[in-house]
Amino acid sequence: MTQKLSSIKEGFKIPIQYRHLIWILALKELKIRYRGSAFGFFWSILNPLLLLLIYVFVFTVIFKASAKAYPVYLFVGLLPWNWFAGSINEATMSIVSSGAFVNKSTLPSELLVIVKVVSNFINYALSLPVLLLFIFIFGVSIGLPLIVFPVIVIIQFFITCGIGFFVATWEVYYRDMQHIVMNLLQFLFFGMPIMYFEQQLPLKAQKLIFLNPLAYLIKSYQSIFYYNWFPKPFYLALLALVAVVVYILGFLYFRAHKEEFPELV
Amino acid sequence: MNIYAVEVLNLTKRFKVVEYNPTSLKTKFVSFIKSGFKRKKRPTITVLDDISFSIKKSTTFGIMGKNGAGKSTLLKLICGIITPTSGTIIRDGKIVPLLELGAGFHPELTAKENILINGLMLGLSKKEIESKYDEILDFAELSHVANEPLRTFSSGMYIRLAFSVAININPDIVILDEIMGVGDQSFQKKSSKKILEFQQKGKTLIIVSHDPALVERICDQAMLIDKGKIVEIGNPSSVAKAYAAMSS
Repeated sequence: MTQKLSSIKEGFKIPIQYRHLIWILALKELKIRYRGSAFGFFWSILNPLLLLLIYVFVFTVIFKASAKAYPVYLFVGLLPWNWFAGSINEATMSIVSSGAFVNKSTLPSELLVIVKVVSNFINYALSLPVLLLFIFIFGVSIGLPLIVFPVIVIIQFFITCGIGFFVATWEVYYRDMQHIVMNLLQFLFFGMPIMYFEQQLPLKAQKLIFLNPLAYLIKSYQSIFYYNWFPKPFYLALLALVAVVVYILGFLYFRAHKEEFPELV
Repeated sequence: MNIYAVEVLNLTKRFKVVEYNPTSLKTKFVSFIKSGFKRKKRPTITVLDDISFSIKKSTTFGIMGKNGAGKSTLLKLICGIITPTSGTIIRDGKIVPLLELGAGFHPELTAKENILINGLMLGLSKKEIESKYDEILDFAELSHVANEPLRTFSSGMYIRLAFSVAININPDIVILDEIMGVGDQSFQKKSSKKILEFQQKGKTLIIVSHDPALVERICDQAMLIDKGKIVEIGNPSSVAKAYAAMSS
């Protein structure tokens, strides 16, 4: 029991102790992604923007969505979703694709998962100015609720890392995981009110989608950036609890299996 | 104060045979059903079998053995990258694993960026590395291409950079796995000088080599392993002779 406790403590120590290394490795990921391209980091902004263009076209021109400032609504949910989905997709492959790190270095391999989450976060952060620009153009009012933003980001960071630990571990044993994860993410995306409004769903379905804690997470972003509301403190606290539990479980699971990693990757 | 840098006691390492490790859910599922819903116990191979030895501080220790004798596994265990099946390893001092040159190098990044990342991975702080940039680049004779991406380097330049990073880090226990004899003759001379410098500074060196002459020349003690067991340990020249006899 005490051993479990001390390894839980370590789980929270790792991101702090190795923050410099995590930061540099995360920047490296982005640098490699954009090296040689003429636009460089600008792609971090351009990619979601082009995606948004497609969605906005489909929903306002074809489906005639009439919501006020719909592109802003869409963008607010889409960006953190991209952060989440990108991190999980990359985290799945993080261990199996880093043979050198796992086999030749004494650094904790948990770092590999965390680095993916952080590098995708940097990507997200880079697109925030565009979001603010949109908010300004469409005249959406934002204000005091924005102070909750860092809390939501931290919650998302821990949830994403926690899930990342699980999928990264499973991928080591079953290489099917990457495909399963990719498809699950698709389901998850459509199962959350990112493109649509929850009110458009039948009442029963509305209850169903909010069994998913991630739906609350996206909703929290929407409340501060779109509705200019404070997220309900109770739900936020619940979400934080879920994040911590998921992180701890993921970390312990990863820990229990990581000794085998050097032999398997 | 411990007189040993590394003490290995009754060390055994077994690996599960990887062939039996199912790589897809389907295979796993099918074999699970075929075997009558019983979990298959994977066969194991013993790579190191009940090995004990110790390495005194400030000495140079050579490890010899044929391919597959268990040398690299032993080094990984000493570094703490993998854990023993049974037995214990006691280490005293900071170990930097230099198991493979350039592990973690990325071809798209510049020489400088790679030095930083490699150094961080080997346990240095950012400040320490920044103060060593010039020294490392100078030693590798690559100062003029410090900001070029690694993919433009020749393999000789690549390996010189990797070796230079490895050698310019300041651990108490230095582990060198078959990385001597890198580069051209003048670079080799420089490398040997650096090793001599390590010895004079009182560092503990663990060297894996296939070169009997090298082991005889620089080691204080040596060990020959074969099939996971110690064949001979002690005087480097007799170990080198035993290795030569075994190989012929």
